Amino acid sequence: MSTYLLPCTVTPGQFSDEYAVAGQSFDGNFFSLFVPTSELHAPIVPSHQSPVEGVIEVELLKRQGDLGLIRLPRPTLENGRTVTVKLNSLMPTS
Amino acid sequence: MILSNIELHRAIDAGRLIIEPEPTPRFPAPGAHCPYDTHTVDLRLGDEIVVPNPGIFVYDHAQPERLSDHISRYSERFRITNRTPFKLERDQFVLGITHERIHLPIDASLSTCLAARIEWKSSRARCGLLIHFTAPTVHPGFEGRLVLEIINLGPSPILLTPGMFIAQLIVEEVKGIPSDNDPSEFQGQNTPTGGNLPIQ
Repeated sequence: MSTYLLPCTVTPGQFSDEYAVAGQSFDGNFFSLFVPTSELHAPIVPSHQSPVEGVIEVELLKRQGDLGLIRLPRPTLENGRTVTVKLNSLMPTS
Repeated sequence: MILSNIELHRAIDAGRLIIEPEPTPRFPAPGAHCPYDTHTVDLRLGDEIVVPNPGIFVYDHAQPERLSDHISRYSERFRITNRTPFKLERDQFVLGITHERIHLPIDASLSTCLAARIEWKSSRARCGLLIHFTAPTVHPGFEGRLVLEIINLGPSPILLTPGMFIAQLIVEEVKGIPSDNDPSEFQGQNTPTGGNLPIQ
């Protein structure tokens, strides 16, 4: 199991200590979740009018061809805590 | 097995249950509210209330989209104080958050870990206040403050004040260590946006 960074779109969360985060799975569908501000790397504070591109730390659980099953830091609102993404969307942590 | 108040103290002392700030006093004392009951510990309301606004959209949970952004975009956040509490009207639904941060660490060297459930307090329920009417489970490994789904089903408005004892936490021992990092744990969530890799 390895840790990677996954690009995501960041907007304000409902509470002040969280962000709303959206990412894309391998088939282009979106998934979204709330992530504590302390667990997300965003260059600037986002607004709903001006979302920012950030990265979240994810764990790569399994590889299959050009796909990877990742575990997100928090559950998605759509379905569970794991999603499948394209491996080339993952970036090394350092 | 549900932990008694004494076992709650032991779990806190052992670092298996982390509640920050730690509820005190551990035992009843003159002039002080003891947050512990026989097998529960009271949690307080934090200083933010989120009010979902009526929107022109329709939630479709079957349709993958940026749901977290939608939910946030169409809600309004209020900071409450003792001087400016939130007046929860009849039938109004809001979100609150616990003052305390909960952490249920998983120690793979042990044969058990802890999970918890958040429940409302009977004294609040008698006024018609539901503070957590769905998703009460706090999973092993969870770390953070607990979001409260609050609704007033009573006949009168209710003031929500930061620091008020609003919920109680029941902590249970989980037999065995969950396969937290094992993809097989997520069987049954085999959809395009979640769960296991697509079958080829």
